[in-house]
Amino acid sequence: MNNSTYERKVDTKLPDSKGTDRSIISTEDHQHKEYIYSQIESIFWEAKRENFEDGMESKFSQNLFSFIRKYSQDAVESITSLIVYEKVNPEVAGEALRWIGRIEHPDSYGFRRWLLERSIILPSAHVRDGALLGIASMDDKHAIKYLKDAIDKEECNDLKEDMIQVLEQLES
Amino acid sequence: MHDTSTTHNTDWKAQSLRLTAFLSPSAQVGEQDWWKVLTGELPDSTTSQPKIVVQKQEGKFKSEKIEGQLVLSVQISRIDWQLTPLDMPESGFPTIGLFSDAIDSFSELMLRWLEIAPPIQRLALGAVLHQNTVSAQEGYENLSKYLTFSLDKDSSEFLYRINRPRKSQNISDLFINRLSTWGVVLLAGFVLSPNEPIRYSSKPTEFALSLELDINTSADFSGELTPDKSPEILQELVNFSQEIAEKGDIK
Repeated sequence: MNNSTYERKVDTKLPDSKGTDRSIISTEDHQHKEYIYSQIESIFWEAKRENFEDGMESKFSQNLFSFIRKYSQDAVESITSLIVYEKVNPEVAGEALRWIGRIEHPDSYGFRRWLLERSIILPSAHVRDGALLGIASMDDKHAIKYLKDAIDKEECNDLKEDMIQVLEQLES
Repeated sequence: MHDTSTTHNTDWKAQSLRLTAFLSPSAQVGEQDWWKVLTGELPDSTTSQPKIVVQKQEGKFKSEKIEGQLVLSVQISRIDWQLTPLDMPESGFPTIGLFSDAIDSFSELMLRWLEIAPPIQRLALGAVLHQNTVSAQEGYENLSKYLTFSLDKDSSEFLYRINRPRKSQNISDLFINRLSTWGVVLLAGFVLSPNEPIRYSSKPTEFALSLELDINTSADFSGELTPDKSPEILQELVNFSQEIAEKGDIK
């Protein structure tokens, strides 16, 4: 067969082209991560120019909410890569983590909690502070184990006290 | 329609097998040599996608009864091991061997990996299986034996997906999702030529029953799968996959 390639189609099903209606039971991995990653990278990049006020919504937090609602767990996975591998400004990362604990979005809940529990021991105090506020907002006892580990490692006294307060909140 | 006490033809062939470990937030995976530790050899290739932080190692894996491409993919929150066919065969569906043989070899390998794995929150066993059949009609007839209802032989585009969770025998508050997807698939050749529309080749179309399994520990479980428990959990996942392949869609 000159100038041709013989290929086989093994399944007549159409792939899920949107990738947004992902089952939370299925553990299959998805292949459109680079696109999602570049989107969230832009959102974090733009946020460097914003001034954040404590507890006040911002353009960044709104963009973050709509991004998570649109891409669910895949969105949180990209945000996780940016924050855990310290590829973004720590203040913006901290701000993101605060809001990640507040958003009402059940499908991404488990992964958002994972990100907060993972971030509570990252090197930047801004990031740890944001993760702590996110954990306090979620108010989920699941985080107790990871918060206790973080308290043992924490070297900043103010942050350590805040962590102990949140721990008391979760244990009550 | 099947009788739940019946064991059916177990000639399922494995098209791919996958083990996914969802990492604990306390897990920190850096450089690792798991592929070499498990196979005794260096992988054929190692690639990384730094932006989305994926490291991939792959190479040929051969055991007494099966051979395939063993792929390790390490991401920030999950680790996937996949066993896939080495090549596309001249005819028939691609396979790594009989499911019964493939799952034995693969699970043995994965049990060894669990001994050195980082802390894990969830485990999942995935499998794509097929069973040859002569036509779509015969496929539906055979598929009905695995399902709780009968399929009309004149129907088409059937796809059935169901989760039948069960409680783990090893961890009291852990549920295991038993997700199965049933259908009949066709294998058709296409000819791709520059400047010409894609067309079917003259090679005959082939049909197969298709079963996709995704047996996984529930995301609602709040604990971690400790190193002493994770091998037992993997064995449960394997047993469930074998049970569904043999007995069909049962509760």
